[in-house]
Amino acid sequence: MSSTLEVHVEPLTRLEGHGKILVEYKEGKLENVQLNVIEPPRFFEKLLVDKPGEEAPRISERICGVCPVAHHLAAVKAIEDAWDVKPSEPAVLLRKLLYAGQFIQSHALHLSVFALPDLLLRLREKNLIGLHKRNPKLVKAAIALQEYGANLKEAIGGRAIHPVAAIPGGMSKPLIAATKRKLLQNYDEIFRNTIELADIYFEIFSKRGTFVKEFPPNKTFYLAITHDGNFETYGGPVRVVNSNGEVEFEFQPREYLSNIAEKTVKHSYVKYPFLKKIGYPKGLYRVGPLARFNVAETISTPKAREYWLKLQETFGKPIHYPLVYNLARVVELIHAVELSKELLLNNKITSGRIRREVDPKEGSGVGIVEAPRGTLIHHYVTDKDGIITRANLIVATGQNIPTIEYGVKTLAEKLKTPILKGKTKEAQWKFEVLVRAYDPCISCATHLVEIRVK
Amino acid sequence: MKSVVTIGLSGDAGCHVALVNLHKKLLKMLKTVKILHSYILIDEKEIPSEIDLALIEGAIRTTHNEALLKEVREKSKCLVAFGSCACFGGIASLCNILNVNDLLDYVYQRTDSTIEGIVPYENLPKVQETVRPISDVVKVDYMISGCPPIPEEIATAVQAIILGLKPELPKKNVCDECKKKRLGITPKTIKRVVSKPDTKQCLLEQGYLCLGPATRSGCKAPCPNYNMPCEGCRGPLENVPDQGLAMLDALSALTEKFAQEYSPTIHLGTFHRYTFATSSLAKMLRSR
Repeated sequence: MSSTLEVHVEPLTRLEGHGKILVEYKEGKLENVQLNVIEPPRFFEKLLVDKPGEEAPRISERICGVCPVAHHLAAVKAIEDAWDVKPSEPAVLLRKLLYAGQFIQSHALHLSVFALPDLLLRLREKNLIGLHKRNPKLVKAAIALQEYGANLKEAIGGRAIHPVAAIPGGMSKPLIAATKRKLLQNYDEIFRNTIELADIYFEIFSKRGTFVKEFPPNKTFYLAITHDGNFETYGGPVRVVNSNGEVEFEFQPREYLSNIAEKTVKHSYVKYPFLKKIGYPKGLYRVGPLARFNVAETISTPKAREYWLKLQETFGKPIHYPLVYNLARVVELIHAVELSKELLLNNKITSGRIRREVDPKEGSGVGIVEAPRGTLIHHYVTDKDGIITRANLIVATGQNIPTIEYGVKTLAEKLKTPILKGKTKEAQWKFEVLVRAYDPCISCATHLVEIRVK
Repeated sequence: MKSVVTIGLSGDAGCHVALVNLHKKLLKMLKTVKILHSYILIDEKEIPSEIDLALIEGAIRTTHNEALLKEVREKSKCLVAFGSCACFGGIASLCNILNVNDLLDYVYQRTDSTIEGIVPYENLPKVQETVRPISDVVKVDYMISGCPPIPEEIATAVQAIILGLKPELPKKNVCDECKKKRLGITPKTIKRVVSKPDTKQCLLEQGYLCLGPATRSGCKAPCPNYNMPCEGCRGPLENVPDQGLAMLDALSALTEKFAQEYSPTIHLGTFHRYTFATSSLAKMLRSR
């Protein structure tokens, strides 16, 4: 056993973006693990400079076609912060509804097309097509859910992908009662589909405990925004909890620069963010559904709360197992579906006062939202005409990449014996399952991951 | 059954999500074609050797994008530029006006949150000078433009191609599908979307820079119908080489005012938001 062994997984599939991982064993020892995000950024931080601030919501959302609404809203909030604009309550409700649509679509896509084929261990054709052969009813339910999310986005934002309606000062088009009724038409079926999907997930996780725990837990810090300490996606202070689940500190969006820094690495086009006060690498943290579960005290809607507690009973809190990201995602999906109904039934949402004129001016503003994949930060500085002079973006997936890499390393250590015996194919798949659990949107954190096992 | 691959180069996966947004029709489509490689749908890592139809999302930004594109072209009977990045370079090509080393230097060393920055270099493909549409490197058989394209449009085009037919693309402009009223008046001043427009009247006539006249139809004008100007994401009309110039031309004819208020740095991102790589200006810059 003296030669160098290489295992490549390239490109990583069933995620939004491409990727490769390199794992290298030499003389029977794990020598090197690299997660190479090989697509460079598309330089939006530079591209946004010299553009009028009000254009940022529609330009920056082209960073990600999977969760454009997250960028659309982070950008509009940042510009409003810079220009001292406060949107009206109905406008905020509309934005939240648009965002619920985004969460529903993004999470339904991940849970059905990307993650589920991995968890159905006996499923041989691990993709949408194979899943459809095995369980057409489930695939149809997941597609209906996704369609509901897309319809919400289109109705509120104007377009299902890359919506246009959020503008500094509010929203560009009101929601009318007829559209509202149409959106609610199939709600009961949508809700049933959601719970069906949720139950499948909880059942798999209760049966496949060993498989879930095969992917080693990583004890990191967790970061998310909260509202009164509870689960929230649209806005609020940022809270950091430590690996024991204790609140480490909280900060306001405008204070992000004193709390988060990004380190560059030579082998990846993504930067590695960390908690400034803790330092690197101790201050690495995770974001996204599992982080939000670990950070928030509870979640507002009734059914989601029921599954939140179920998750807590099964795995305790905080949870460090990467595969449990999927269950946390399920809880968030239920919440987004319930929230969509709550918002559609709120009379204020159709009250019409949704936009005010704004005066572009000199300023500096930060907008933070929870994207489906985690905390997303937009920061713009504008000149006296409201033209962007500086832009800084910290995207969701980027914050998880260092821990994903560390997780791959731990797993590579664990899988050393089977890999050196030549069972590389299964190992490759497991590396991918681990990466996919985070639902990395690598087009957003730039683009591609390569898995090589040398 | 015809074989299909879908590829993502430098882009945002939005075109692939548009494909997924066919919802039930996607399942129908999957019964008429065999998907052999698609990073978002299946796990196959290799590019198969015989491909009937390749859908290419994204532009060329790196040496890796270019090599992958060439490989797919060699193996495909029909290759389609899928979305505006593949067709025209897309939004990221707005950076072509800047030097690539300055871009790398800015993102990795000078943004506000970056500390001790170095430009990454190990085991990574090289970032090329400019963002290019795929037609710069390979022969493109058909284009389906849009950021992203309309799901229906993708299904219809794929259906036509697998039957050996030429996909039909809309030939009119976005104004043709817009519900706003045109009164035949000229804008008195250029307005930014920070003010509230009259929601019934043509946005361009009110002074908002709506690219409807210079943009290919087929989207049903969702942006103007949501009281936001068309950004031109579907690119120019048939046989128009430069969408931004066509729009500038139309505007200068409409109002003298515009010439006075035009600012190259600010308006570059307005008139060429999705097509800068194929613009005359970009070509001039490259030939220098």
